[in-house]
Amino acid sequence: MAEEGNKTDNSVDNLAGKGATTQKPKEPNVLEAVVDINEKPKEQPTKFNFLNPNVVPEVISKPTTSDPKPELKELQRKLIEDEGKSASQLTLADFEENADFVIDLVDFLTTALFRWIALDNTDAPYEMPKPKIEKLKRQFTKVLIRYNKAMPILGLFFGTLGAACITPARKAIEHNKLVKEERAKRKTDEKPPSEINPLKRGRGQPRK
Amino acid sequence: MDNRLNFVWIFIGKNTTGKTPTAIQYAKEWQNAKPKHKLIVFDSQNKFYEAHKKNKIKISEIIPIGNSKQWAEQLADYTETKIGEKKYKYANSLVILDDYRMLCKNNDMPASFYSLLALRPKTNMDFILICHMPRNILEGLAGFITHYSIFANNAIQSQFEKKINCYVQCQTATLIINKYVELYGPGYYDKTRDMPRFPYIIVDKESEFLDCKHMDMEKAKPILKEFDKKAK
Repeated sequence: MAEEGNKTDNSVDNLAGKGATTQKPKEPNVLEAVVDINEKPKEQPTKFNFLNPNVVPEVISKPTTSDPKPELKELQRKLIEDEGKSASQLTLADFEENADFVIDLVDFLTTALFRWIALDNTDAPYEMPKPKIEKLKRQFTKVLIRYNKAMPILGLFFGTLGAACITPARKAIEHNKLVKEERAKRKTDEKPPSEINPLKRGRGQPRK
Repeated sequence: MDNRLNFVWIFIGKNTTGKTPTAIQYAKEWQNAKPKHKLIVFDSQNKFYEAHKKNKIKISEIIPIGNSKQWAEQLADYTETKIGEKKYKYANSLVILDDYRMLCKNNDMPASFYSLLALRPKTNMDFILICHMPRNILEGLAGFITHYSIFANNAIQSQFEKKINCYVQCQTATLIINKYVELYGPGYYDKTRDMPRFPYIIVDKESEFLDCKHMDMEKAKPILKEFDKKAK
């Protein structure tokens, strides 16, 4: 049996019908095999996928892993051009961006208003539902397109910056208040140093 | 270099099976996902231009029909700002060649077309090529193809074997789609939804599944059963 293991027989008789047989390696990291190159691939059942039959395959709409970033000068030129656009030259993306900004701002303001009415500090129960916000954005985009109105890019930027900063600022102020209250409480709980002054304690008081 | 997912998609099918409307639909979805990228077409039937006029797609460049020699060289055109830094004129684009053999009339693959395909990771180009038969696929092209869309066709089974490395799946897809179209018709263009509804099967080299598009599963079941019985 040991002799058989070391034998390398490439005869046609041995190849036919045997398929691939791996033999014991002579050296570590070395494998020997007799492979029948005439062997036909085994027929396996083909799987047919009927998922989303009416949708264009995902590969088409998938962005490539890394789209090259535009060069700085090109980006600057494009932004300046966009700034100078008249209302008729605005694209759908411009209107969508404007609608996004306005509806986000409205959402923030209404949340704040309802929170103030409810005298509540939590955010969640008073926010508009997400699908409704999306619907509002779509509808408002159409309104903007109808009236051909859009804000300049700088206005959008400062507006978004303001809206983005308000919530963290409010939370920071609330936290600041809490910390200050806690510090004041801690101060009242501790005995003030003047009361444990031995001189003051001894005056007119009987010794313990 | 980053790994990119550029595809070379080939549509195979006889006339009036809906290859061009489906390609237009693909182009539309592709442009929605990548609005700033370019769409370059070889429009042998003028259907892409009609879609462009109807604002379905936005064509950046049309390869003229007479230009059968230099088109690939022109698409690979670049300017060199610094040594080794090439800026490709048509980078980030989808190239659709409808009836592409009109551009490659010889059986030898033009060297410029070969290098255009080889440069895909650099130029970030996707390709959709449309032809009628597997025998229309040039030998040099077969190695680049990532996906096949098999529409009803008149190809002889051996044609696939000689041209394509995943021929077993393509042959299977052809048998199934031909039978499906024979029984249930070639499909139609849904004007109310502005969508092509032509049945076809996608063969992805990397996937074990054949993706059936615009085909009803219940209708396809008896066909698959019949082929399964015959095979056994």
